[in-house]
Amino acid sequence: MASRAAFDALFDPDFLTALERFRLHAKRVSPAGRHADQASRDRGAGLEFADYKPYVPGDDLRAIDWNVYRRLGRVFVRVFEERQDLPVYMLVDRSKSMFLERRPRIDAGLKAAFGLASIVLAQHDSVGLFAFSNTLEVKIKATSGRNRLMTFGRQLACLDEAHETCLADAVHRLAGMRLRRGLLVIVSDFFDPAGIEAVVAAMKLCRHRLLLLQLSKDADANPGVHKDLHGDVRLLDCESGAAVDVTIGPAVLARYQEIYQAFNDRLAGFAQQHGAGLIRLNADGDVLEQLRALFVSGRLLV
Amino acid sequence: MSFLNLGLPAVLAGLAGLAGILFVLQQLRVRHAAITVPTTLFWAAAVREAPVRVFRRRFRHWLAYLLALLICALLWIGFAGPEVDRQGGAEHTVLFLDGSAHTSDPADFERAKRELVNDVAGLSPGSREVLFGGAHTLKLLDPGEDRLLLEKRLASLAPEASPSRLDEQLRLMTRNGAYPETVRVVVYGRAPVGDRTLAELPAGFSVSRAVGYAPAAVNHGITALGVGPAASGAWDRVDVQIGITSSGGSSVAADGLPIGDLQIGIGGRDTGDAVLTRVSADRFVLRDVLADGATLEVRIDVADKLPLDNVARLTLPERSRVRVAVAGGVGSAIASTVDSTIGSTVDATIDSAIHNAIRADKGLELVAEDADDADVIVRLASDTRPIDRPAITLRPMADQDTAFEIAYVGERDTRQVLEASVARLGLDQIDAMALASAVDRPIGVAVFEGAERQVSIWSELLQPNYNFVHSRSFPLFLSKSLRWLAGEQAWYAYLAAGRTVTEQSARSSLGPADDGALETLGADYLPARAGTVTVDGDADWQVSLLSEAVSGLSAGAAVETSALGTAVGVPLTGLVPWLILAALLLFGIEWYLYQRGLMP
Repeated sequence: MASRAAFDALFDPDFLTALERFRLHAKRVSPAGRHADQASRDRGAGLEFADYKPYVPGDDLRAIDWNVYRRLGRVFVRVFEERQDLPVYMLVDRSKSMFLERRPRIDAGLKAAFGLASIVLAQHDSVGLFAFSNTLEVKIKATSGRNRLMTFGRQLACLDEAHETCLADAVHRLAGMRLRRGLLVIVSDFFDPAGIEAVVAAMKLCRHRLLLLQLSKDADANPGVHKDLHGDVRLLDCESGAAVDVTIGPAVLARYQEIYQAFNDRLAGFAQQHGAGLIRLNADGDVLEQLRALFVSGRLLV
Repeated sequence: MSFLNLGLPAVLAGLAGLAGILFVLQQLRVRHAAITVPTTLFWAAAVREAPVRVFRRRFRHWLAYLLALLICALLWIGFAGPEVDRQGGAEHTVLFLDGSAHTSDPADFERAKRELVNDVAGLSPGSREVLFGGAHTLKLLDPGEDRLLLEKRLASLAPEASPSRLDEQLRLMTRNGAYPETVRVVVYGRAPVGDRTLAELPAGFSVSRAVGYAPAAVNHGITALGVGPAASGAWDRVDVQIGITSSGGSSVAADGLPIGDLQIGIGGRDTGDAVLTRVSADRFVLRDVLADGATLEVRIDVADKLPLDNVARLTLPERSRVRVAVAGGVGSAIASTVDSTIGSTVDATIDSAIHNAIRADKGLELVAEDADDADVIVRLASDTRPIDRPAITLRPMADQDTAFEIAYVGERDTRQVLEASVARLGLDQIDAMALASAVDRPIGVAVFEGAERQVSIWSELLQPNYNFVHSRSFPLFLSKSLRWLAGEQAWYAYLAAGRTVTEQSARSSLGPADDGALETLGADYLPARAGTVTVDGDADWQVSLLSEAVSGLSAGAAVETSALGTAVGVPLTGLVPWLILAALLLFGIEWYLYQRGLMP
């Protein structure tokens, strides 16, 4: 939806220029990919020498190491590491909670997703776009090429407000797709009514490496900064419409903060335990600065 | 049980109101402001451990409600000021503190106040009241009022130079129906109770005296101070009569006050050539005092029981002669209307009647026809000279509808002026029937407002054949009319506290009463205390005590002397601190239970 995440705003030249210095590296990408720059387990044509192997008929004669044959009298061929692409799957939350408030979380989320996509496409990796709320939609299948950035951006800008957050279900569904193993970037506030445990359980079953972009606001951790959140209030859930009557006092506030902290701790614990990346992206802050903090020395290893 | 600050119905209504309010508060839930948030996930979990207040819910917490109600009830009852009436009976007690001249001895008054304060402390507040009888009766303490207010109110009170108001108050109490059937009146001070008053008290009323006073020592008091025309005949002088009452011993009463102990001053100076003489043991006369409107003060220079009756003051009349100018030709003009053969005789008769009447009155002075300082003129209507002063005008019957027409100055009610003028001008002394028969026309009086005072009469009435100028009423009419026209000030023979002044003036023939002062004072005016009365903002009149009952140390009718003594009823205002303490204790318990989560 162009009005929500303005297409022009996504194509901010300064923002894109600043991202050109960043690189996303995978330790190893899964085989059967396209030729690209990421290290892979596949051996074959490439530039990086990997090993020798005895010659068998059919091997490329150009790979025979004649020096070894002269010394040992046996024919060996040089084996090279194949560099392939990393498939990156962007799973973007388009539930109502992402579109609420004066500076909605979706703005920062789309900008971060677009930035990551530009980095990925710039290094010849492929990017796919998935949007979810209570359903999972495939917006763009994983494709590569810098010229795909325009298409990707348009699709992002067209994401509009949907329904409830069903992140656990979406991850389940995505895991069930026969996708090449890659990097799954989840852009969401993680406010799944099923609870953080259900989300974590779903992510554990996912074969992809994970990069979690948790979109937050200051009032999430400290409701006291919200001018209306004090005294006797009826809180309406923007997605389900459920009402919760609260008398906000010091005790209730402290208890809320404890629970919210536990929620964050659970997400961070999962990320640490499973080697996933976790970025808490403040929706009210500058996205570029927060991404810069993520790419230490301009490089992010996943 | 009764309450100091509130009546029983108010206390019960307050308790019911508190119970209702607390009941509603128990059921009320607060109104929530609706706010949309990204998720209620965390709030729902937080609220599970801290239940929210709700606007209305089922009434469940009876014990908590009763505890709150008990606390509020204790505070409310404490505010109402409970007290237990140990007196038992329904008798109403009226404590009357005498502040009249009877109790003007400082020692007597202080003792009466002390006894009063002591007795009030022992009475149930709901069934007692305190009155102060000075120049006016004041209510010092209403039933139910806190007795602590009494001492503050008593502090500014002192005896006043006035007669006792006890009898009047007793009569009022029995008549106004505001008191119960059984009333006990306790008198503090020396105010006497009249025999007749005591005899007329209803069956339920009783009067007693709180303190028995010993017979008083010697007392002298001025009981009469008045003025009258000087026996010497001098118009501008008056004789002052002084009455002294002595009591406290047979020899003192018989001999009276030595004349040397009587000090007299007039306007701050001595009496001049006026001579004070004793006419009897208790009467003195000061003769030939100049009637110049000064204040005469009589003082007894002896220390005695009552100080307030040792001084009396009197405003002397201001008697100046009225200068009258009679226009020439009055007699001849009237005579011209009758038979010419007797004209000269008639002329002389009329002139001489007018002049004789003026000369006979020492308060009047005949001046030349054209004298500038004439106060009043007698003139003919045909006189073309402008009228610049009050006048008696003689007008032919043909030109005037009514026999007597009176013009007055100022905005006043015409009917009042008419009624007053008949007596003031001596018209009531005229044989109007005879005159009416003679002239064959009704004799009437008309009044109207004018620029100058004026009396117009038919000139024909002065003809000898009507017998008006020869009647005894003619000089009176002429004299009074001239004085009224000259605006002579009213004066009073005496002014005494507690005695009306109107009858004295109306009956007095000492001088004409001007229509200003007396009516300002009012027909029923009764000076309550000795002192200065200011009339119309500028005329001051001195009022004296002049009471035989006070100066004679009258004990009045014999009434029982019975001290109320110590508390016959004990107000338990001391309950209040205990009630507040109990409420605080319950507050503490409630707080403890709340903190422990044992109550909502």
